[in-house]
Amino acid sequence: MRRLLILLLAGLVTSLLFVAPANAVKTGSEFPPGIWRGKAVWTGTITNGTVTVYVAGAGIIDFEMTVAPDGTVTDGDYILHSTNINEDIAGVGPVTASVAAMGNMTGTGAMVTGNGNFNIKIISWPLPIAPMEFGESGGSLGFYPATASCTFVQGDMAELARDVQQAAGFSTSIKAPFTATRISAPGEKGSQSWDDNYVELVTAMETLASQPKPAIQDVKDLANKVDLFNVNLVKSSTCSDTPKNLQKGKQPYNYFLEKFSQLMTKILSDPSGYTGADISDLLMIAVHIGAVGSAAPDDAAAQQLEASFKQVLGQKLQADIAANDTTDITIIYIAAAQAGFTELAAQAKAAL
Amino acid sequence: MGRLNSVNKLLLLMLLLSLAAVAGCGGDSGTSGGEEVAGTPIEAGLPGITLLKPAASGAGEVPSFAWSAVDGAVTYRLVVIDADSKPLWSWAGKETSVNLGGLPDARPDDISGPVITPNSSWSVVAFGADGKPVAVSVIRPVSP
Repeated sequence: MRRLLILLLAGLVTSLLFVAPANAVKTGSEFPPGIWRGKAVWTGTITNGTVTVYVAGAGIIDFEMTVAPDGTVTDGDYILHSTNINEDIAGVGPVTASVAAMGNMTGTGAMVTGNGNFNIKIISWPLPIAPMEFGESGGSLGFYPATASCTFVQGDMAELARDVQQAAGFSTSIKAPFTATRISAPGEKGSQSWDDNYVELVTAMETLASQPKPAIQDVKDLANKVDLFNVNLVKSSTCSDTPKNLQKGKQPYNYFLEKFSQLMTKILSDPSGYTGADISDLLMIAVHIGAVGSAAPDDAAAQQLEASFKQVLGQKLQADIAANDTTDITIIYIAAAQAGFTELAAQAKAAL
Repeated sequence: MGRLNSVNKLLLLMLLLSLAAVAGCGGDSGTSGGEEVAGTPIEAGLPGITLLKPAASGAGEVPSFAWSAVDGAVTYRLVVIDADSKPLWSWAGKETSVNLGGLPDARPDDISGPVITPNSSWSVVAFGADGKPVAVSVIRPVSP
């Protein structure tokens, strides 16, 4: 039994969470040449019905690497700290562990790879012997940015690992959203407040997304904070070696856009308790961040979300008409007219 | 002849008065550097908002939008739609001007973000402290 537990822990924690498939296909951007310092926040759940691994939003990965002019990664290393990993192994019981890891980063700016040495400390487990600590080496890293400018990048360090987890029969929501900035010299601290702010935003996003009925004001407030963070990133960006694969006219696709889209889909699937004004506000946030509209980087997802907004706003309008709530009808009318939802706008106008 | 001139003057006066009335009900055509620009009204029975810039054409891909302040307004919401009436970008804030995409300065070339395409449109609504709309502009064309 003890051997089984160790095997499961080692297999899941050190491999499934991080390993990128050997034949991984890159679909994003790449790190431009320079020295990069970054941080990832590791969170989510892996389950297959027998084993569930839950990583609270406390897994932090710090990394620094140099990308040479030819794109080769040199002098790269990373450190992982995580203090709250829970595994529920059906038929055995819950296991709580912490993981520390460090390793080298190699590869290229288009596909950063690496190996690590992991130290797993079992905090509690359902065995009649004291919890133990053990090490594990290997577990290759593989990631790349989803979007990149010459001075900052963003992406999901767990994107490729999820393919491995799914191929192994697990259902996974593991994410490791990261951001990195280009620094002028190895070891330079970069912006500590920036790193802290990123971790804070990711943690807030996860908390908001976990709520069954998030308040629209909270969604707006977080969207504004993410906006400010992105503006500050861009303000620091002035350089000549422009990356090549930005989508002109589109908003950047990143962790926050994905999570906001999921959050909005959840709200729209059960919009009870929200007013037409709430849904109108949510629509405008969706347009602002690029979850809906012609600047959305994922057009298919944007169209689906837009259709949901039209449907729910239509439902709210009918309820408002029945309740003779002219204020909410007016708000829906204005939002529909502004957003180009002409049919909905005409229905609302006719009700005024 | 003198009577015909008087009729013409009266008709002109009526036309001007009707235009002024439309402007006071969210039907403001607005100006841009002296250029009169028509717009589609949002007929919500609210006062209008004067849209100041950009020009309806030649606005550039990442224009700056500006409008007149409204008494009693605490926030404004701007929405840009493209030629297919699909929303392109929205923004909400206390200011009466904003650059497309929301950056305070000119957007660097290496930064993603929405850009104006031909025959796009934009509009602004003002909200009071209670979150209710207090004024609304026309939907006005804009092209790069």
